[in-house]
Amino acid sequence: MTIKNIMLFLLVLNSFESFAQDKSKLQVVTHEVVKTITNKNILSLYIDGNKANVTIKGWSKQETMVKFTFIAKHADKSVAENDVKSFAYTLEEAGSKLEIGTTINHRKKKSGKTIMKCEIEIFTPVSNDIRMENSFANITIENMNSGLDINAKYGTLNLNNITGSCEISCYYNDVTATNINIDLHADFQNSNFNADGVTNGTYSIKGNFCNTEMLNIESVKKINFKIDNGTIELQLLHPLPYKYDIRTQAGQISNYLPDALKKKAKNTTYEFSYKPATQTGDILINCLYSNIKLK
Amino acid sequence: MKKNNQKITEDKMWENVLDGLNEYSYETNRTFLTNAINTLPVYSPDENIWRQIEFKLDQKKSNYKQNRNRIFAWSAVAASLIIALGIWKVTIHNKPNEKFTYSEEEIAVEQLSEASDTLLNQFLAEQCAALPEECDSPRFTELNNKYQQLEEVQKTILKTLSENPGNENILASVRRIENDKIQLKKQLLKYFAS
Repeated sequence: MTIKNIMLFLLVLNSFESFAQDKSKLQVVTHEVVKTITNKNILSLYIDGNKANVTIKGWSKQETMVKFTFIAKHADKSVAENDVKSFAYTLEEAGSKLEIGTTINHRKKKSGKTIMKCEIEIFTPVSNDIRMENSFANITIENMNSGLDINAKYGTLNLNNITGSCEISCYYNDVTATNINIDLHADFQNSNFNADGVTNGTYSIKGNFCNTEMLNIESVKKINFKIDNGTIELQLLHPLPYKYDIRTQAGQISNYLPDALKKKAKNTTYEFSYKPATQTGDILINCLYSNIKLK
Repeated sequence: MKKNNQKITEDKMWENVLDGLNEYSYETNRTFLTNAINTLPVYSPDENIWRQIEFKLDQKKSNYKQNRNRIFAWSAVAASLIIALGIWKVTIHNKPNEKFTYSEEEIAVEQLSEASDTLLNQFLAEQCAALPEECDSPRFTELNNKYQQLEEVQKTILKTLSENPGNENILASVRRIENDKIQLKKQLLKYFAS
């Protein structure tokens, strides 16, 4: 490596500071709208988040309450006041489905510099299915026992106390889950998955450039991961009664499972396989470059 | 007086008729009855009686119409009340609970500066010219392709940010992509670090 190249190398490494901050005082106008849908025939929600942060909480009531919070920030109060009114919401019942969404009418806006923010908070019966599409948003779903179908980009998804089935497709959208018992089918592209507190269910994840961490796994029926680039970390509280078939072509397996299990297993840097006499579940992991940690 | 005499004559006649019926044969009775009927007085009603009947009928008809109109009126009032109640319920019950609040915030607005990707590209080009076998490896190609993809993604996100200035979630995505690029840069540079 020449001196010129070393200098260039250092320049590249030091080119990461790409943000600067500028403080300014803004007038904030908040418009809150709360609506309750008492129709007991509503069985599913379809949410088009469109950059709005969405929080969904299951409750015992047989009705759905939706709270929209629209926020406009601008140095001029009258501009903020005008621009907050450019938000519009959709709340439509279509048979057993409730459609929820928000939009911004840019023609109504006075200024292109107004900071616009929208939040949707939904309380709904725990058994209602949820289908959502969203981007550039934080999504939180709590206390549900139903079917979730989520397509999210460039944001985050938090799942808390969830049972049922989940179809999740994420692109640059990290997922955090706590206390779950779900049948998960997920496609995580450039999206990390962190789960803590897994009591049962099946977890089928395919992805690329995806770091997956599942901690405190009490029990599981099946784990089936196919992740080409990334890391996988599994913490099994009771690691013995599973069939393991784990391999990575160019990554590494770090195995901290009990010695009793390791002695019976075929265990190399790239492969770990074990089949007990009676099994309660399968752990199948197949990777290209990912590093796998078992503990 | 005249009426009384007439009544007495009629009574007498009916007595005769009954006596005759009891006393004689069918044929005799028939002749006798025919004669008796012919001798019965003929009455025609007073002309006013038809007007009275007509008047009473008109009165009944009029009462029926009045009752009917009254029922219609009350039904209309009841229906209007029900509709009004319905509208009230719908508007009051479904009326969104709305409120506006005002506040002031001091916000640190992030200004993005141009990332120096050209430097990396220049560096990689020079290194690949010197060490082509490193750059031809599948892993290096995959990482480099990924880096180019991230650059495209970053451009898309920056465009979205320009349409939604100050959006915290979009800014978070820009940061996220930038961090991913840094990680990839590090991995790519590792090939030439030794």
